[in-house]
Amino acid sequence: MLVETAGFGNSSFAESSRGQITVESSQSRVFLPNASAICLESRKSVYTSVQLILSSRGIESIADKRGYRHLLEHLVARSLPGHDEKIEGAGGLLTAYTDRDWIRFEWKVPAGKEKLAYEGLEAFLKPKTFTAEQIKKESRIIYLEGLETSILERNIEKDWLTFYGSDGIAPLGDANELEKVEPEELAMMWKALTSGPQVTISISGNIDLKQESNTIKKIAQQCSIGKDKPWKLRQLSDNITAGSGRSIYTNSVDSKRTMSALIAAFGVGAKLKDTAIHYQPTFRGGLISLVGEGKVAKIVADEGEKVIFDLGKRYVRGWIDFKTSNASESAAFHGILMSLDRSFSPKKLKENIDLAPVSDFRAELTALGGQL
Amino acid sequence: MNLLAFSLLHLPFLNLASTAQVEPPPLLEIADYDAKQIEIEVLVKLPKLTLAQWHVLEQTVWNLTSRTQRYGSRDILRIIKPGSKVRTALLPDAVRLGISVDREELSGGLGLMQSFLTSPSFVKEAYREKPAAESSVYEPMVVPNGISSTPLATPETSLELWSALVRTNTVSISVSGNFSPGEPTKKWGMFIDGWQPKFTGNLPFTYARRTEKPTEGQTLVFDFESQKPDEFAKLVFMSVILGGGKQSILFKTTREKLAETYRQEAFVMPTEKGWKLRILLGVEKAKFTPEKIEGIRKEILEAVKKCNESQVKTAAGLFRGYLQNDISIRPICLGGDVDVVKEESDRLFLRSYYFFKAGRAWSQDLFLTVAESFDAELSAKLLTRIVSESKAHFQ
Repeated sequence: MLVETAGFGNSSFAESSRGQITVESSQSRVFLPNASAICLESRKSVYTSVQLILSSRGIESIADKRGYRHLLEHLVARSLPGHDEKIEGAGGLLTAYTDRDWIRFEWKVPAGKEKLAYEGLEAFLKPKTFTAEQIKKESRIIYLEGLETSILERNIEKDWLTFYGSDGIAPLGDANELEKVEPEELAMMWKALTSGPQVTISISGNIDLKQESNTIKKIAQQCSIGKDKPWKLRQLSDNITAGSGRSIYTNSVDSKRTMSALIAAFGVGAKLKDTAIHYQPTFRGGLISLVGEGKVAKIVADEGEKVIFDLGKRYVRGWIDFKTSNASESAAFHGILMSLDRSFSPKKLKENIDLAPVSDFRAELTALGGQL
Repeated sequence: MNLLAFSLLHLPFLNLASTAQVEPPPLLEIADYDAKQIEIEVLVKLPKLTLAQWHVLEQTVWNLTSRTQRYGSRDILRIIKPGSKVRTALLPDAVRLGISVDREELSGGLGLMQSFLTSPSFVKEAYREKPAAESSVYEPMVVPNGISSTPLATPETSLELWSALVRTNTVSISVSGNFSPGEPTKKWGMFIDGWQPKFTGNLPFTYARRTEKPTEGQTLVFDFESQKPDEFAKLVFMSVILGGGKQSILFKTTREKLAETYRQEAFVMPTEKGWKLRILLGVEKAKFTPEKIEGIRKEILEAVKKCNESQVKTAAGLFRGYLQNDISIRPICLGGDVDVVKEESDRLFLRSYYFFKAGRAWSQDLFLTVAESFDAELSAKLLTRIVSESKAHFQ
């Protein structure tokens, strides 16, 4: 039960280097009348990854509900007695993550044992009740989780606050506030999070698309239609302040501006020592945080802008390829993108690499150079 | 994986006092026609080092892979798989160096490895002190000595120490990937034949004595040491029962019952002379007195006594998932935050290191057989010994 702080985009360059991976897979996307969505992928894999992604659109971590979704993630993940034992005994594992734009549960089960995961999936989508005692205990665990935050993660959290003010608060939550949350309020939030428009189910593995599609549709169509259809879009403030020397601003993951910023960060990052790029795809304002040793201006002067541009495009392509290179990554990547916007896909992001104009890239490179 | 060839040459035991020049460092080949790239892993076996030497070595390894006398930083980037890094890890008894290269760069990769070993370059202008662990709270938990920075390491001390550590009988190299059987051995021979190490006696270097103690961290650690190589598989399985997944003893005790941890893990890591099972508890240190630490130990022991067949079976299933289904638990820790069964490069390192450490070939089946041979009674007995005899401290 981790907060996936920067985990999604924690791109060591080893990841992006594995680019041009050819994976044989077939996919299917299903949209149900209750506005929930299913993404299925059939591929060669020893395990199947079953993921439930609950979008936070309209239920973001605003100041007065800070950490509620994270608390829910903790409570719901352990809400089905005996479930973890069944999954682990079969050679699988259930994990859960909370981020600014989603909660994600993943059941990783050996091929052929998908039913075990579906039991959990179905149970999690049902309404829940909680007790004050459960809330108090998990708030304490969340407090301890906060103590495990690394210096780097804290710096990135600071960047979010610098750039976005109170809209940039981390989804972790404050344990002192969380332990006072009313059980009924949490139950209501869970109901909202599991309504159709918020729900994406993404499955990847050695599966029969038609058969699994029928099974999952039966589970997903039980979700309520939800009051907010289509999504209520809550934008982060446009009042951006250049900040701490690590991060640059992005907007929606499918925008050309974001792609230009990624190309600049990956291109420069390729030439830094001990590079890591932290980026969370989002449908609203976001950040790309670049970590490494070296001077951007010198790198650009030494290598030339075109070299950085070409290198950046190659690495972004490699990063996207890596994010679809195995069943677990692929289910997460497809599912998260779909949860942000039903039209988002890795393929669409790749198209944007070729469309990214040099002028935008230059602007992002300047922003990066000025801040590092 | 399609294993087409598996040749294992003799790995001599470490004897730094030996002056006899015998044969070049041995090479293990694992040919795999399905592989998309070639992995090269080198181990440099270490003698017992003083804390001062440890410090110099840590900085040495940090600086080693930036350039060599023959290869500049751009040459290195050209040879290794585009965008990848040179993998390094410092273990209590060995240094790991690893690279991934494309098929056509096998020669280049072997040449680069030979250059890291025999012609390192520690240039004053580029020599940098290893920064404190910033990206991972985990790193301080797995470094051998919790070393902090002091000005002991310089380009000169690094060159001196590295040259003394790298000898024909301390180095082993493993290669896996799509190549013709015998090809890496032949090419490696061309690079390394005739090489004479600069030093052959005992380490002559006595750097200034360190006076400060390693910094005490925030994580409560229980360490159980074993010097019996054949206990490794048993300890690994015990660490799964203790800390693997949400049915584990630690999850159920320190997290669910006591609400004292968010992170609770157990893994096996190497020591100079054997293995160590480490229990790692992310507690609120400020509230932990020695009495409370012993209270935690008592609670874990109580849970161990109640260990039942269902728990052991669940752990065995999870362990199988770890070895066969890419399940992310980590009962084996061989330096850094690396899962040693996930990537081909890390599996090659595991094979290589296990042979070097235990003197026998790594066998997944053997580990699974060991796990399945444990029942609740046997598990409780060994776990009681582990938890009772382990030493507690903060790291």
